[in-house]
Amino acid sequence: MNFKIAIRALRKRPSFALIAIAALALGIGLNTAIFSVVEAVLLRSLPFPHPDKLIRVSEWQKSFGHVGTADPNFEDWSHQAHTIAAASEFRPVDYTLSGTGDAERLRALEVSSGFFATTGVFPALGRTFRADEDRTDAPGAVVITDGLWRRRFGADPSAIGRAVDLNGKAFTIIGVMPPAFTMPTLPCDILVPAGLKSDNQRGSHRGEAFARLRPGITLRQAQAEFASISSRLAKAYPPTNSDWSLEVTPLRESVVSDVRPALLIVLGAVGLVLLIACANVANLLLVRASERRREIAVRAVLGASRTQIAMQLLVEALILSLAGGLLGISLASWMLRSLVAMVPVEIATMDFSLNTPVLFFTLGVSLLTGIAFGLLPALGSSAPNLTTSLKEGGRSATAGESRNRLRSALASAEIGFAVVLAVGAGLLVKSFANLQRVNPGFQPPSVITMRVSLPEARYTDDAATVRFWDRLLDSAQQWNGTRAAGLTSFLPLTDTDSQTGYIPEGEAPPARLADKKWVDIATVSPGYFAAMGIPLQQGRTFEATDDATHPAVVIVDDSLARKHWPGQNPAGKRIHVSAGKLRTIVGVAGHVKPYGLDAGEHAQVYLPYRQVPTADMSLAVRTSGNWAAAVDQVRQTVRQLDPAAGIFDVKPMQQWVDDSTSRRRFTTLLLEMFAGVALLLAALGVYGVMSYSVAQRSHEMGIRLALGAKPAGLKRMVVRQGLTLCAIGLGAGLVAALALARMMTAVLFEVHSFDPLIFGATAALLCAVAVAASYLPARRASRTDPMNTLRYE
Amino acid sequence: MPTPLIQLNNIERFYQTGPTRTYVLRRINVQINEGDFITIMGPSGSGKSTLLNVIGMLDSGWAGEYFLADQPVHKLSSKQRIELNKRYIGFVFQSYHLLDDLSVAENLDVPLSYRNVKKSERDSLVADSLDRFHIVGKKDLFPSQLSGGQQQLVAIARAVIASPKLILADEPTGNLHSAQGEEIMQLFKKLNEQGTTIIQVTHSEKNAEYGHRTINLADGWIAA
Repeated sequence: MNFKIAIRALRKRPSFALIAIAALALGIGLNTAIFSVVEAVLLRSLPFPHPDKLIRVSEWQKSFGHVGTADPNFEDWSHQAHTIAAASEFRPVDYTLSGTGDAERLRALEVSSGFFATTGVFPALGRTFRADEDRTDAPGAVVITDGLWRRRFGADPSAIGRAVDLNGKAFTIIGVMPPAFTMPTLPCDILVPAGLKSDNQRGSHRGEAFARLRPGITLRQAQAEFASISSRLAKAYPPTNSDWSLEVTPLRESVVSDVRPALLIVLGAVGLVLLIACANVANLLLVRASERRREIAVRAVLGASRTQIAMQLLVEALILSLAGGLLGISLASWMLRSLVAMVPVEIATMDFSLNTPVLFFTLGVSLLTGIAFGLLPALGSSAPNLTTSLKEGGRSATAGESRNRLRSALASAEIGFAVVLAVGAGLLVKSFANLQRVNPGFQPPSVITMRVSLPEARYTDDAATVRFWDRLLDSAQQWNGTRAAGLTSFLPLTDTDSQTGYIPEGEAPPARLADKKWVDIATVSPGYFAAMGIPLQQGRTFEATDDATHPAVVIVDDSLARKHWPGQNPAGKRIHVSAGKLRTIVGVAGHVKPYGLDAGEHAQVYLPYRQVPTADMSLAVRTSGNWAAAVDQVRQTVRQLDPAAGIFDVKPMQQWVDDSTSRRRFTTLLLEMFAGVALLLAALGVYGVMSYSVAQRSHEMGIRLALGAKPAGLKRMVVRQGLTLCAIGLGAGLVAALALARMMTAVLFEVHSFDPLIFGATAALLCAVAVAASYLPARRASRTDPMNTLRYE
Repeated sequence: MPTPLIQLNNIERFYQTGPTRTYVLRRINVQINEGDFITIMGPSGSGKSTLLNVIGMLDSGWAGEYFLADQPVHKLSSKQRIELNKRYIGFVFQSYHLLDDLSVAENLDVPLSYRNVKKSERDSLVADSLDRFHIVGKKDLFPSQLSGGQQQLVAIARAVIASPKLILADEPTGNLHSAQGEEIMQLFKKLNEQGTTIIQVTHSEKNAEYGHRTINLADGWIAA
């Protein structure tokens, strides 16, 4: 009965219902869309059996932080640890599949043999790797994913046993993983044996490792055991392990730890938007409750208890919130499509959907919001003053005042929440603007980049490798619009790293790994600096003669030059790079930021590709022509040079730069949007309160005018009242924003958490919003006709 | 020997404005028996409606002793008063106070729904009531589709549907033209004859004649 009556009551006041449902749909829809991302990234279980038993084992050192594991260390701890049932090392790499049709780049995981036991996921077809296949010299064996099996092999079961060409080497397909198999945040087409080398350097942390805890073992027990293994390794191998420790964290945490702060900020912000929407609807309901004073009193007279009256009002609130929730789901599904394009690149491959947990969240949020905004008006109205409420035109002064106070408090709260959001958004916008102003050390516009990968097995000869790159570069110089073309083994901002040790001539090698000096290293062609727009500050770039038959040379960046030869021209100085021969510095290039615009400074060295050839390079072409045409030309040329060579990651350099800031862009854009919605809702809230107040005080306004008040004076009075509401909310909001800003310090870039400009601008903006929202009611007040009002009263 | 339904001893009601007390009821001592038809009269501001509100337990800020069907109302909590009200009292107002969003049948159903009467029983009681008051044809209409007299008829039907022992009527014909008013008063008379105690507040001498006894109020006092 309550439900039926509530629906009818809402249908009779469609504008009220529509405004309330729209505000709620906006709040709930935004929350649902954001929650679907949070659910996928932070809450969804890893897609493995007993995911809570999976741990990441990383190695940690003070200056490096958490890094991957070294093969020999992995071998040691995976055999020594009794708290784990299985362990695996893996490395994400790219392979080029060739032989049939176009060469295709495949995302691969090189995994140690324990991978399947650790994940608990085994091939649906075929088998796992045998121990004898997990060696670098073993015949190639590959397990493919269900997606690749269907796409490339037409889901043919006879694909098992078929030979394929990966990086120019023959591999046999031995298994197909089940359709549900995925590695969170790591796109994966194939699994190949890692071929761990126990004689590898213990300082080479080239793999990621994870393990499965034995049943009944807690994380703390595993952490204790790994701490003692770390100590043993440090004692056994002091040069490489003395300052390192093995760190154990839940795998789920480590997978998403980078994006967690961004997502939590966004979730908090969208929660505030919902609170503002709730305050708005609560205000609308309070007005409704005032209008329904008589009806509620009649119900009380007819025997309704407080609970029954409150329930009736609550049912209406719940209908509104559920309708808002339903509309919010449609809104969320639309918003999610835009959101997917904005999410940080590290989580872009995850599956975001309005699945069952998300829909339960929406239902829960809808019910909670219904109770949140419905309860105050319901409780406030459930005990009406019967004698006054039932009088014709009766007005309960006390109840009216307390309701007005509540409405004003809600409007002030909306302002307060909007201030918090606006300050948060302002700080992020300023951070992002600062980040955009950072010079990456190169000129990304007009540069198209792509990775070209040669089948290693066929390019064991350095001369053949160099020949291929020479011919590709020669060809690239001829393309229409090419202004410069260059190759590099380490393209900046591509979420890869390439570091090596170095020793300036005359310095003794470090006794311990921890004392080793590290530098970013890239193998480049002579035209790379021109193609990328990296300034050459001193000396020269590489030349065609910088090959294996000539002296070893190196170009350093100005960061390294300043560090070791401040105020001098380092040209002619010599350094050991990668424990190799002494190289003579021939030039100094400008510093480049390869790990992110907000990352710290790492010194860099460049080696000539003719002296250190590598089979996997990125081509950068600065072109004034059409990018698509340039890419076509690369494809044609590479196909002519070697059809087995793979081309992938074709992207304008600017796109790499943009992707590197995607996490910040994501939070900034969303907070901007939320702050905009919050300001709009807060303005509506203030407008609603002021309009109602003016309507309620029309009698007073009439008397004031009759007594000689000037319309402008009334206008000022109403605007002043609006500004008072704003000032209260502003004060509380600024205090809350200060606390929030302090929590945001970690995500800000070159912005003080108490930035006077942002705080001041926000305060001014909110005051302007309050004045604007009060102006219309104020104008209405100033146009009151005393004759009419007093006669009516 | 008549059975007392209401006993008011020294009922007083005042409003405090700063240091000043403004009395609206002074030392009201009244006994009303089951089956009585009482009229309360007096000039505006004499306290008629206040007395009716005290009896109907719409007002709780009074002093004195009030017994309803031997229950000491003055000692009851607000929850207990609501229960007592539900058991014994039905209200009829000058401006009908029908619920605008509900049809005639639904308006009749409301008091029953608050008394936890089963749905099937409620339906049957509503049907009986529609029949008894000859408003079956209006059952699906909304108050705005009825005339004033028809609305008051529905309001009376609603007041008696839960079979109260006492009907409190505050100016029940105040908004009706004379023919409709006459009809409504005839209805009260009939209800009274069937055993329902009725207390009405009215300015109309003609309506007062339907009552067995008149209580005249002046400045809050019962006039001699």
